[in-house]
Formats: sequence, structure tokens, C-alpha cells
Amino acid sequence: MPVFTRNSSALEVVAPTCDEIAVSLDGVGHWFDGPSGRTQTLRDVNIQIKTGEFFTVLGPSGCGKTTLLNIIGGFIEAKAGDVAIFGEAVSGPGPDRGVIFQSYALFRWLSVLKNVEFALHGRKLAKAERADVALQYLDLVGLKDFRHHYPYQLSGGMKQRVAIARALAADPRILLMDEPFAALDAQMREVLQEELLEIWQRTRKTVFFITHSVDEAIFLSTRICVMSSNPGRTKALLSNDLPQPRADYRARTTAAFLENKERILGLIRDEVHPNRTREPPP
Amino acid sequence: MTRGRLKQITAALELRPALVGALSALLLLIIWSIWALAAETRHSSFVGPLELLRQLYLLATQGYGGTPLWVHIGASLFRTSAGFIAGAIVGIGVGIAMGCSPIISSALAPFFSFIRPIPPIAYIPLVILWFGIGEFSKVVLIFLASFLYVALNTAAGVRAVPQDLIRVARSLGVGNFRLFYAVILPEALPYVMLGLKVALALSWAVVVAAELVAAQSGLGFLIMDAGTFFRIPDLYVGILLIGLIGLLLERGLSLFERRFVHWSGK
Repeated sequence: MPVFTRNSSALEVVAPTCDEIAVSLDGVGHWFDGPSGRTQTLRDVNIQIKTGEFFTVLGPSGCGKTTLLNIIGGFIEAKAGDVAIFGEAVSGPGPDRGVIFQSYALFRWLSVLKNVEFALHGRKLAKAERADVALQYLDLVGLKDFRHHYPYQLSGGMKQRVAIARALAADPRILLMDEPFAALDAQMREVLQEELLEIWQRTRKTVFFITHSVDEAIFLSTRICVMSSNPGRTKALLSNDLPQPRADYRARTTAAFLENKERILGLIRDEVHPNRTREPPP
Repeated sequence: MTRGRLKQITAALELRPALVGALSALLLLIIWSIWALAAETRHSSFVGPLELLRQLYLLATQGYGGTPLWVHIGASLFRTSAGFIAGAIVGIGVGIAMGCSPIISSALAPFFSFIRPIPPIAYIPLVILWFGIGEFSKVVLIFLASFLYVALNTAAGVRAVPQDLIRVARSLGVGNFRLFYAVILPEALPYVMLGLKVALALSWAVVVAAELVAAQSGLGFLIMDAGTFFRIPDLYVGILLIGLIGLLLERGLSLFERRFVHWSGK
């Protein structure tokens, strides 16, 4: 079983060697019928995510990106189109897809260690062995020393680290992350982004990440899907060719980073003010 | 200079709530004693703290109405705990069902809305008609009083379990049964505890009320009997004991909560 410690070998660079499709969305649509008629939340979304990709969905609130994550997670059923995980149609949530929410969703009555151990309930492990495995994952996020703490004794950043360790402990093939760092302060957000990149490079999980922060999307992803709203649909699929490894603050100010940012900001600006003519800077 | 000193004292007192509480209680006792001393000759219905203590000792050693004091206390406690425990068990069960199923919740809603504003003591005559004046009628009354609050709070607690929490558990491969006892139940526990606390306080109040009307033992019977026969000091002791035991019950439950629901409110 692949368990990685913080102090293990130097970071490896992931190149998507395997072309297996991890997530396949084919003509996915979703809507709900309210008193004032039908509201289309997603229309004709077509996305193929390869194994090992860090795929980010970027869009304004209300563009249906959380609905998309819920559909992939199997929490809600798409009303149109086909959703498949590694070739198999999604019929509900499962341990092959780990979820991490903005709200942390930790079990408040369990210690940090027990929270991570919860993810191991399906495996036939002796008690000591179970704690051992959970500890390795806690070590991965740097919280080994806090194993006996309870969630209410931790800061927001630490809580989200526990949630990440818990999700990883179930050894999912895909991580689904719904604006996981949106509730954190700016400094802690950047620290956790770097830690997440390190973890992704070590574990080679496929990541489906949702954010409304352009910087976050560029810093983390290998591919970015920019969405537009009403109804939610993919506006552009961009591959993010920033050099790896980039789990370093200096990656945030390189020319390539800023170039990508400009491109994406332009796409989003068109979305928000489609008719506004922009004058060239003097 | 003096103003600065005053500020210092105020700051020191703000940090010591227990000391301030003890001082105010002491002050009350002193005023009470002086007043009792002055009023004793004029009003036989006024009893001072010293006489109260003496009477408590007499009651504890000699009993009341030929029955030892602990039998009266035990009778009240037994009725309360029997009704409360039964109400808590049924209330938690019904509350869980209501929290899990919107249909059950909607079906029971009219009854609960109707019953809630009725004070439990209003049932006393009816319960006596149905079940007589024995122990069972009192236990039924306490059951009715505690059931409602436990059920409503449990239902609210189950409904308040965040969706994200359930989704995380589901994605970790948790089945229905495990989801229920390992996620929903502990997450709802702080609400259940709140319901239990309210229900216990109410149960204790209702048992005294029920004993006032129809009983041959219990603290409610004791104060009613003492009032009827002008045994004024006994009446005071009865009220004192009801207050003390109510306080102890509340503290006991709070201690239980801090031990087993330590994450509550944090």
C-alpha cells in the first residue's frame, strides 16, 4: 500500500504517463423544477479527465460547479448524459472517490487519529495496525503530534489537513475537492496549496478540484476548465503548462504564471461583462 | 487614587464569579437572619435560616408524618426517574424517526403543535381519572411531560446533521446502519442532551405538582400537608429540599454531558 512520509525521497515529477480515462462526462446536464419553471444548472458538459491529472473547474458562484462535483461523487444523479469513473457508470458514492469539502466535515466526537481511522473501517486490520496506517497518513499532512486532539481544538488549516488525510487513508483513486481552501485565510491557503501539490505529486491521485480563485487554479492544476453560468457549461478547457514541480511560492510570480492568469481573467471578464468594450491601456 | 483602587477591585471581582456568587448568597443569608429575628414575633409564617436548619435536622432524624424523610425524597425521585427514563427512551426513538422521515414528522406535527402549549399539570385530573392516585398515574404524567421535549430536540438534532458529513461518510463506503449509529447519532447527541436537560427540569417540577394533588408520600405531599396543618418550618424545609434536589439533578446531567458530549458547543 502506498503510504508516503513527509521526509521520504525527493519529489518526483508526474508526467501523465497513463492515458486511462479516470472521469468521463458525456453530455451531462442537470436542472431543477421550481415554482417559476425549470432552472437549467448544467448543460451539455463534456469532460474527459485522465488518470493522474490535476483537473480544476474554475467558475463564478452559481455556475453549477458544485453540482458537477456532486454528480461525479454520486451524491446526485445527472438528469442527462453519461457519467463514468474508470469506464464504469456512476451509481452512487463509493470509496474510489474521496471527497473534501470547504466545511471540513470532520467527526467532532472523534479524535484526529480516530477521524482518519474511520476511513479504514472497511479494511480487515488489527487495532494497532489500523492506528499505524492512520498515523502514516497523519504524518503525510504533518499532524502526527496532534493525533489525540479533537477537531474543535484545531485551526481551520489543520482541520482541512485532517480531512485530506482521512480522504487519502481510504486510498481512493480520485480526490474530489469542493473549494477546500476557500474558508482559510490567504497565507494558510497558499501553504495548503503547496502541501496539496506535494501530496499529489507523491501519491499520483487524480484530482478534481473546484475553485473560484484564478491563482489557485493556475498554481495547482495541469488542466483548467473555465465554466460560464446560466446554464452552467464549459466555456474553455485550457492545459496549464507551468513547469513542475511548482510547490514553491516563487512559481506564483513567474512570467508563465502571469501570462496564464491574464488569459483566464480575460475569459472570465468576457463572461461577467460580455458587452463592455475594453479600451487599451494608455 | 480611590477611583483607581475601585477599578482594580472591580477587575478582580470580574475574574472571580464564584467568589461574587458566594458573597451575594452570604449577604442574603445575613439579611434573612436579621429580618427573621425582627419578624418572628409578629408572623408565625416567617422562618429564619437557623430555625430552618434545626427543622431540617429534626425532619431528617424523626421523619414527617410517621414516615422517614428519605422515603419522601425517594418516592419523588422514583416517580421522576421512572417517568423521565421512559419518556427519554420513547422520545429519542420517536425523535429519530421524525428526524429521518419527513413523512413521519409531518404526520406527527399537528399533535405536537397542539400538545406543546398544554402545561403537563393540566393532565393531572384526567390521569387520576384514568389511572387512579397510585404510582402509575404519576409516572404516566412525568412520561408525558418529558417525552415531548426529548422527541422534538432529537428530531431537530437528526435534521441538523450537515449534508457534507453524510456525504463524506458515504464516500468512505459507510452503509446505512453504520451511518446511523456512527455518524448521525453522535452528531445529534448535543441536541438530545439539551432536550434531556429541559425534560428533567420539567419532570421534577411536575412530580411536585402531582404530589400536591394526590399522594401519600413525596416532597410535594410533604409541603402540601405541612401547609394544611400549619407546620410552617416543615413547609420551608420541603421547598428547600425540592430546590436542592432539582439543582443536583441538573448538575448531574451537566456533568454527564461534559464527560460524554465534550465537543458540544465547541
